[in-house]
Amino acid sequence: MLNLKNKNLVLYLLVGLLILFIASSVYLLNNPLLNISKIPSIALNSVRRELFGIIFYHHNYIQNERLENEKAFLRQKINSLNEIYLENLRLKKLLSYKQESPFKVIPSKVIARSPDNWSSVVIIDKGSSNGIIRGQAVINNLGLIGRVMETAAFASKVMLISDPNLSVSAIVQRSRQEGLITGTLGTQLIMKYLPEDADIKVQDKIITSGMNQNYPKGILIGSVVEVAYEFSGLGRYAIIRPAVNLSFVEDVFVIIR
Amino acid sequence: MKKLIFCMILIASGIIQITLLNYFRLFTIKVDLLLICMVIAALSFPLKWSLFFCLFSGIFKDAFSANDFGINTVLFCLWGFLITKLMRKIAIDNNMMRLLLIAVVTLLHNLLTGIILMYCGVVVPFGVILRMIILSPILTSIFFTPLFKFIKKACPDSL
Repeated sequence: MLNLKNKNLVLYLLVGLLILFIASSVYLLNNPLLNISKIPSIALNSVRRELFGIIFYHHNYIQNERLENEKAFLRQKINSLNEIYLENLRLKKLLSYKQESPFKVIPSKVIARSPDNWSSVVIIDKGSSNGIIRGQAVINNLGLIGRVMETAAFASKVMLISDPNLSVSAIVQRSRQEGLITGTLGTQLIMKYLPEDADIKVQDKIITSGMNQNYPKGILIGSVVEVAYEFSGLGRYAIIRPAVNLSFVEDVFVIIR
Repeated sequence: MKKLIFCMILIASGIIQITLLNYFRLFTIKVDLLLICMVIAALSFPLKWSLFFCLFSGIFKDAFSANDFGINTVLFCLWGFLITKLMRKIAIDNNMMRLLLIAVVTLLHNLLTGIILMYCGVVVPFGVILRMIILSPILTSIFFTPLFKFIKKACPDSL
């Protein structure tokens, strides 16, 4: 089919080598492309938001009414909780409790996603100029989302916990059983390396163990939906449903300290 | 001029793929617009330009993926080259042949990407791999014809 002559063969080999060289240096183009893509991505996201606003007008109207009621209720609750919080602060001061410092986070928005089906990656609109560095954990109000894998000046690439390249050391909140959470590229995660007699049940909450400095201890990862024996029969594994719906994550926080 | 228009369409397809297409997924699988553009480029342009567009779309895809090595850059160029060579032997001038070609290319692309990832030590459940290998060619083939017709209207001389 190819019918290559010697002269052509050399040419094709050279082109092939050039392509291989470019492919191995593709990571050098990541930063400029991440920065360039920010503007059209934000514009397209705005168009999508406006379109969805028009299409789902009725749904939004009903939801708005419900949320208004909820807001009034929550405002009252915040007021009462604020009182309790202030009281708590006063009492802690009195008892000279050592208060563990909370996370310092940077709020950010998801502006793009991985173009292929073989990786779970999102691009966020904050980068190294905002103090984000590689390896920092990314969360939202529901739980763990992933880890910063690359930063450009004004955007960063975040690998989601559903990516099989990312593993997180985790524990079962109830029994403190340790395991390793890995992504599957699907909607669920796998907790591996559980011993045969592991104390783990369906609906147990899974949190980060704090073994890795990048992930502070106690961040919710998800809940157990199934526990089964490994093929070898030597250990068990658990299927975890992530606390965060990773397919539609939009607002995230990067833990910078 | 037609090359410039095609390049613009390629960039627009890439941006749509990383933004809007996330909301139109079937069982977490989405359409590969860049692969479609790559096949159209291979069907429409001479080898030199076809390789350039394949390289461009491959780099675009790899830049936003999690891969350290440009798997898509290499594979896209390989598919572009093979399609151009195949066109000298077989006439790919009707819709059925084009659909068959895009389905085969998507299937092979996903199969090879999966094998490369597994070879690199990434463990992906068999069900997920099967879903990608089966669903991705179907979805990509469905979107091929409208995009092909659109590009044909946008730059008619090339097709």
